[in-house]
Amino acid sequence: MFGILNEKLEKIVGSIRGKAIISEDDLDITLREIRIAFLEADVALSVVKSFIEDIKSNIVGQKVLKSIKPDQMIIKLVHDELIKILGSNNESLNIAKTGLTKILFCGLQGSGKTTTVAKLANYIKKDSKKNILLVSSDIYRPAAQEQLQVLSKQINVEFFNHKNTKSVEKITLDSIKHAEQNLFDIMLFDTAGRQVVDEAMMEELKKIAQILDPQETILVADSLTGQDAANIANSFSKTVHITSSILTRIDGDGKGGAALSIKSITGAPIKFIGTGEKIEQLESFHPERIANRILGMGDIVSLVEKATENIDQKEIENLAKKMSKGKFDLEDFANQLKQMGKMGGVSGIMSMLPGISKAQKLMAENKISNDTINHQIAIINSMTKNERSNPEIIKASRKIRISNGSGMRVQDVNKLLKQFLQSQKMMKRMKLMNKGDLSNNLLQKLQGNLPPNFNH
Amino acid sequence: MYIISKFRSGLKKTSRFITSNIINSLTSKQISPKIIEDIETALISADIGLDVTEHLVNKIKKIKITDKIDSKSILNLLSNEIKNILYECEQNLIEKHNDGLKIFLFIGVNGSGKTTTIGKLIKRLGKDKKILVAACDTFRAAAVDQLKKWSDNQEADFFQGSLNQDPASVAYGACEKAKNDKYDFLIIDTAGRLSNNTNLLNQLVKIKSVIDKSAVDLKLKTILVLDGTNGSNMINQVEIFGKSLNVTGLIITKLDGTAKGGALISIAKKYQIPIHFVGLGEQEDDLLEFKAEPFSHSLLNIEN
Repeated sequence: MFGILNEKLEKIVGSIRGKAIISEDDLDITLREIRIAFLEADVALSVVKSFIEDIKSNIVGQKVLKSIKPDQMIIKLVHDELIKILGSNNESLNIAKTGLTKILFCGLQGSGKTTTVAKLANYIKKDSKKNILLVSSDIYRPAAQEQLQVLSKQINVEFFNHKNTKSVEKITLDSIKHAEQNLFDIMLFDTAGRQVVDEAMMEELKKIAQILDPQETILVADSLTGQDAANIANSFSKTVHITSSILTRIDGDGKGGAALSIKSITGAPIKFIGTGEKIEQLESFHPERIANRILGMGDIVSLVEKATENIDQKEIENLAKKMSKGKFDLEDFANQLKQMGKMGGVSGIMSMLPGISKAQKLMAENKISNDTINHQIAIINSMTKNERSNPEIIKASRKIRISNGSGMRVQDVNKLLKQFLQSQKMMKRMKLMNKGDLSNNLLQKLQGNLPPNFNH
Repeated sequence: MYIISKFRSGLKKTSRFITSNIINSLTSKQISPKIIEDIETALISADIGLDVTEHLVNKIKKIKITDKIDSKSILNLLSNEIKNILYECEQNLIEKHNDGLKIFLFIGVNGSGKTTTIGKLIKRLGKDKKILVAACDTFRAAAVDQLKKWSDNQEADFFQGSLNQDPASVAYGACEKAKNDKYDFLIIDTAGRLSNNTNLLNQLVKIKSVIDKSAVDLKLKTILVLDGTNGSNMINQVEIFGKSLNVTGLIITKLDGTAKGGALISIAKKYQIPIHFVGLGEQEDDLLEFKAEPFSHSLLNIEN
């Protein structure tokens, strides 16, 4: 979800990375590129517009920290706006403590309502002993009733059989009566798919909602939806009180712009996402996780703050001096690793750094963890001072000794040495690139400080 | 003409939004950058991709500002450009003078409207034709029942396998029956699937190769049904399904709502693939031949 948007935004931000100040023209270009990236991800135009407006006004309103660089500023602003739209926490279903909870489903044809009804019933059933009743009021689409009935058998919950009643109102009334008399806890009420311009059908939905008086009214929407998501969200919100939404086919592509549009326009939280064809493939939606992954940007500002708090300035300056002389030995490498540990380890940094999507992939591939850091420090600690400053002398017998001393395998020692060599090369490169003020370039330094595997 | 007017009335709601946007932006009667941007955003919000939007906007930019330029002439220009892109895609699915069995294989994403479209197509083919409808969606609950109801209503013959039977074997059985019993048309429905699901895509490839083997010298059309409310993913669908299945034509559904289906223009530009029909509702008559002119006119709400 949002994978494509993520890539594009990283590229945009990357293009202004390294700039100390951003001109108005640059800013305009950047904002325009962000706008295009969102539009290409199928986010509704009205949502994109207000998104960009908000970012602009925050820049003009000087809400931005002056101490950070333009690319970091853009990242922070975009990220904050996304959090604003998506919300910050997962919200659970509103289920009454006593009595019958009624959940109404609505949406366009083919958005996946019926399948979602069954998936949600299955989800609720899994972690509660609630007595669930499924009702279908779709009297239009051939075999819609049968579809829900078959699904209800698959997941072993009750289905309300109204035996081909042709009045939606009667079905609604009868189902409530049936559910109350038979002491059901939760009733999931499926409706026919409808186009928002079909006034008679929208009126029907309104009527159902009036009779049903549901605790939850869920808008089910296809995450492949394009610009029409805005109209859908608008019209359904106007007709009934949408309390939450479920996005289906989230596995369909990496854009998922409809999720942003629908959340933004209905204002109702996305509570679940459909992630596949199987009945179990419904997940609760965690906006904070998604937002942190979108842009893979995280909170740059808090990273910068955390970095200044935790990093030993002297160490950094020493390191910088050595780097500027082109000297960088295993001792420094160990120091680097320790600094990383102070900042919350790999996972701590990863959750805050830009460009994570790439790094996370690498991390998964290389299986780098906080343990890896500790192991590497242990290996270096098992070396003599001479070895640390002249790593080239470490040959077979020394390796075996180091391996025994650190409790790691010889392969691990080899791997560390290889990483160190790469790191050394990078330091030399950095020396050429990076002659600016130390504190201003902290972030770049930090990125340089990541073990070289991250930067392949 | 009935078809064209129905086409347009169905699409009218679709085009209201885009046109009002454009007209608003033209009231000043000058093509300022602001107007260009308004046109651009109006086109984008019709799901017309950024590439095509840029192409169209560049045409507008070339217009010299004179007194004669009004909103209508700009709309006409836009509509002409759109029509020109789409014109080559007009192509009848049903060829009039063609004997022997014709096979239509329907594919598409879940919920795009394959089964409903088949129901409407049976009606269109006419009761004087001998039609066999095969249900190869053995996955979704009650998918077979849904198709059977449509085919019973239209008095077409129905072919089905058992639940969870390999859809390719159902397709093979249907082909054999259609050949032996001398049917005019065999329409095969398949389960919906996302284009990025490789396993399910391979299943379709298998279905198609089974049909190819059973019906070597017969006409097979593979028709991709697109959900008109989809955005740019529509393009991915044509790309990916097309790559592995040789899609011969498209049908776009659900254009009776507020969706604009503008991604179709990008598709037409990129793939030159026939667009056979447009789905404009749930009733049996709500399937209309795709025509570039009324489509582009309707998109911009131009009256003739």
